[in-house]
Parts: sequence; structure tokens; C-alpha cells
Amino acid sequence: MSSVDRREPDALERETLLAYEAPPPPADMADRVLAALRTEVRPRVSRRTRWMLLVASLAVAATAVALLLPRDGAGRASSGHRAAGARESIAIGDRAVAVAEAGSELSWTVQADGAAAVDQRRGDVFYRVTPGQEFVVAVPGASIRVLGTCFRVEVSEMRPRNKILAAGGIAAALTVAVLVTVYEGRVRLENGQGEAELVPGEQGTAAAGTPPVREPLAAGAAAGDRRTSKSALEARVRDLENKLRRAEKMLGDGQAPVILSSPAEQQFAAEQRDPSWAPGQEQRIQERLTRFVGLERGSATVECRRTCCQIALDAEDLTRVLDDLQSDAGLKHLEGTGGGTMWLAGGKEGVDRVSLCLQPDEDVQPSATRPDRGEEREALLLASRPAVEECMRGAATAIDFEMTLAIDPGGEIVDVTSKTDPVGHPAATCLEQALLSAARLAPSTRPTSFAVRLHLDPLR
Amino acid sequence: MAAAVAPSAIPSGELDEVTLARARRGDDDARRQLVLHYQARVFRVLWRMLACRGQAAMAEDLCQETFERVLRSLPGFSASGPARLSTWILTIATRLALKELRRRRVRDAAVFRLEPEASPGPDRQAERAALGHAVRRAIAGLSPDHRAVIILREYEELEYEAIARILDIQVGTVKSRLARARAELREALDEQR
Repeated sequence: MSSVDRREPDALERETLLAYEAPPPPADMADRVLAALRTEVRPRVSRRTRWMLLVASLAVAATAVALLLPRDGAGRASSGHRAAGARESIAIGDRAVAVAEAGSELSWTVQADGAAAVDQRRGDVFYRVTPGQEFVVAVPGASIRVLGTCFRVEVSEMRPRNKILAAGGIAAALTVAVLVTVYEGRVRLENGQGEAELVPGEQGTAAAGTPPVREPLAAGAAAGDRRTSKSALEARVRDLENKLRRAEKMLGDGQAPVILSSPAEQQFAAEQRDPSWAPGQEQRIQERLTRFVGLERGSATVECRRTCCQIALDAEDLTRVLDDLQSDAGLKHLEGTGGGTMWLAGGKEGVDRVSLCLQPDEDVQPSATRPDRGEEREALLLASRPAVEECMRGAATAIDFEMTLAIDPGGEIVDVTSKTDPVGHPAATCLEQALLSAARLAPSTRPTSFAVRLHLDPLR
Repeated sequence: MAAAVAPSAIPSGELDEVTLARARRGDDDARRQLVLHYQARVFRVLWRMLACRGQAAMAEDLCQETFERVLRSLPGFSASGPARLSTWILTIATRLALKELRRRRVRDAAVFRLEPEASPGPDRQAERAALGHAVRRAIAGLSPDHRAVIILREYEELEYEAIARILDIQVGTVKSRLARARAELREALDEQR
């Protein structure tokens, strides 16, 4: 390590500075880090725009094309195809095992760096995957991106499940449905219509032409599966840890975490429902939650009364979307929630509540003096898309990019904070410029801010 | 399970190349050694950067996040590149802390309130504790950018070039920020004496 030249004339007295001592890190820090990495391979990204999915899809398509090209055979690259006549265990490279039930058919390609692409055309296959490089299972109408580690994929031909029909309103033309069950770790079920991240104890369904749907594991499916009950307990522990972490952060921010009794919640409890006001607000809040905050439709319950509304949502969802929810692209553009009387959460197990009260005559709908930063963010993403794609053309690795804009009442950007993962990614500066040059922001009655978060795969 | 390595047994330089190569391949023992090797320094930087209420929980949180990011991105780190591993790790830690500080500043200016300090007693230990509180309060009064240069230079004794790389600014900017930060810190300490 380097050493400062202590002869600097204005250097501060070291003894004085060292009086401000720092304690050692917790003894179990390394254990915590490794445990976290075992359960999550990719960084969490709280919001991904629809068109970014298109970019990702293009990247996946490019990868698929690359997989068809002859390889030099270096490293552990391998490929194979199997149509199982009876239950069969199949090694996919050296970090995944697939247990294929009779009637299943799959083919796979593993690259030298361990990245694997599986094409499961039919049948019922259980996968156990060691965290590492990308592992994607393509099924008809969707793909499943493995964030680690243990899940089952069932592809049903000509036998769509009722719940898929109910959830997606799929027409009779449907030919294939997919059911994914997660036992450990996480997987992301995605297609051109959307995505759903699944954790232990959850199932996801997908079919061509309809967004993936997430739902709790059916009780019958969970019964007798010890892995599932263990995973459910782990999910519960994670839920509690998330709550504790949020409370600690709020304490650190000087905000008191209010459980069950925030002013907004008390006011909400005291109000009666106004049928001329509540339904419209509920609908508009739901629209914002889906469109700008990144919650799946139907994953939050919104109830409004006379001036206050309450949103109930999954505790993990709240942790994931809290920043966007509190930004001006979410719900903070409301005058009533901007003054610090907003939220907080409490609730029964696994569910958190967010309460907000509006000023008299205020509406969730933006107005001329209160521009919709959510819409502006969408416009920014749309306008910057060609430039953003150019930034990623030829890039060697994917990037998670987050840029927070602080906007003064005149609509000028006065502060920009960017964060990339990995740090120092060559595309970072290009992305920042691409987004900033596309920003068109209207004046408002007060300073506002919001974040843009992107996950981008390289484009060939 | 990895063999336990006592933090005190870790040398103070960079991680050896063999362990680094194993860590890049995902070897859990090597990844654990990497964390143990750098965790004290990372935690120290984060602790001092977050000189405010809730700093313990937040420093632990960000320390963990730093190493999660480091280990995820390790395959892309080039040991022959311009940045040493320690600089790269401190870059991630410092930027996470800056992000957190800026986020708080926007949301709640009261974030910089400090915990009540202990009344200084007559003995030397109490005097040192009081001085520590004074320094902490003075550092908490600096802007995030000034705080970062002071901590990286005065506490971590990094060269200007390394600080410039970590903060992604010019060396000249490092020097000018450092001069202003020192002056502010000195003034704040004088006021408290």
C-alpha cells in the first residue's frame, strides 16, 4: 500500500485524526458474503424496462446464434441431446444435473467458461445448478434464467392448465404451457411479454403471447417435499431480515420506522370510503405501480378511502421497489406524500403496508404544474434506446447501470449520480451521456428526482 | 467448509497471485481469504465515511455488498491492469458509501445528526474519546466528496493517483478537494476546542 508524504505542509495531525477509531469488521463477514453469493448469483436490479428486455432478448438470440457456430473445443465446452425413455439423470457440463422424467426431451450446450444453454422441448425435468456462469433453459414461449439453484420445469403440450387460462386469458390456439417450480435459490421466468422472478415456495407459469405469472406453490405440491418446507422457512427468515434491514436503514436516515401507526396509517384507519373518490385513485395508483414502479399487475392491493390510500404488498417486493416507489417516478410526485408524512410499513407475515394521504383536491393523476416524471423517464428510455444499444455493441460483458437524476423546479438536471456493476465497465460513460442527452424534463413546483436502472447484455 | 483464517494472520500487502487466481475460479476457500484479507480496511473506510447515526449497521451492510460485488466481478478483474486489487476494492466500497451519503442528503438533511457523545472524564482515555467524537463530528460535517478524499488520503494514506482513480476525478481535483477539506476540518476542530 502507498504511503502519504507526511511533509505536506497542510497535512492534519495524525494523532488527532486517529482518535476517531474504527472498530474491526464483524467476525462473520466472510461467512455472510459467501452465504449471500450462494443464494444469489446476479446483482439485484429493482426495475427493468420492457424495451430493455428486448435488448436482452436480442442478446440472448445473439448468444444462441453463437452457440450454433463451430467451437474450438477448448476448456469444458460440451453439448448433447437426450430423449428420456425412463427417468434419467443427465450431467449438463460439470455444474448442473438434470433429472429428466420419461417422455422428456432436451438438448444443451455448455461453453468453455461454464455458461450453459438448455433447450427443453417437452416433459418434466428437475434441475440442480451450482451458481456460476449464466444458465438458461429455453422452453416454448419463454426462457428461464437461473440465479441458482434447484427447480423443476414442466412443459405441457396441448394440455394448458386452467390457471394459465384464467390468469392470462389465453385463446384456444395455445399449444404449449410451462410450469416452473423453485425449490432453492432463484430463477427468472421471462418472455417477450414480461418476466417473473421466482423464489422457493413459488411457481411460475408461462406461455407464448402472455406474460409469465407467479404464484405460491400449491399446497399439494409442497406436501411431503422436505426441501420445499426448508426453503419456505429460509424465505421467511429472509423476509424478516429484509424488514430488519429496512428498519435499520431508516433509523440511520433519521426516519423512525413506524410499525402499524404512521400518521398516514392512522388517518387511513379513521376514514370512511368515499365511493366518488376512492375507486379512481385506486385504479391510478395500481397503474403507476405496474407501469413505473415495476410491480407485477395484481401483486399489490390498493385500498383508498376519503383522502388516504393504503398499498399492501409482499415484503420482498417492497424491499425491491422501495426506492422507485419513493421516487418522483413512483408516487412521491404527490404533494401529500412529499412532505415527510409518507408511509411506513407493518403488517402480517410476508406483507407490508404503505400508507399515503393526499392533499385536499389532489389527485394521483399528474397535472400541468406537476409533471409525470414516470412518463418522462419512459420517454427518456425510448429516445435514448438507439444510443444505448450502440454503447453495448461489441461490449465484452453485461452491465447493471443505475443513474439518479436530481431535477430543480426549472426542469434542469442539477445532480447526476451513476453506479455501475461491474465498476469501471467501458460502456458506463457512454450510457450516461446517451441517457442525459435524451432527457427532456418539464418544470415542476418543487425539486424532484428519480433513478433509471438498466441491465444490459452485450450486443454483437 | 473453508479453513478459518484469523484476520490477524493476514499480511498487509496485496493478496498473493495464487489465491487470487483460485478466487477468480470460484474456489470458496480462496474467496474467503480474499474477504479476510481486505475486510478490515474496507470496513474502516466505510465506518469513517458513514460518520453518522446508524453507521454500524450501514457499514456492515455496505461492507458485505462491497465484497459480494467484488467476488461477482472478480473474473473480469485484470491483475495486470492499471488498478491494484486493493484500489479496485476500495473503489467499490467508496462509491457505495458516496452513493449512500448522497441518497441520504437528498432525502433527509438530518441524517448527519450524531449520537450523543460521552461526557469527557478526567483521564486520558476519556480525553481521547472526546477528541475522537470531535473528529467524527467534524468529518460528518464535510460533504461526501471532501469526506472521501480526507479518509483515503489521511487515514488510508493512498497516493493522489490512486485516489483519483477511485473517485474517477483528475489528480488536480484530488489536490484541490484535499486542501479545502483539510481547511474545513481544521476549522471545525478548532471551533470545537
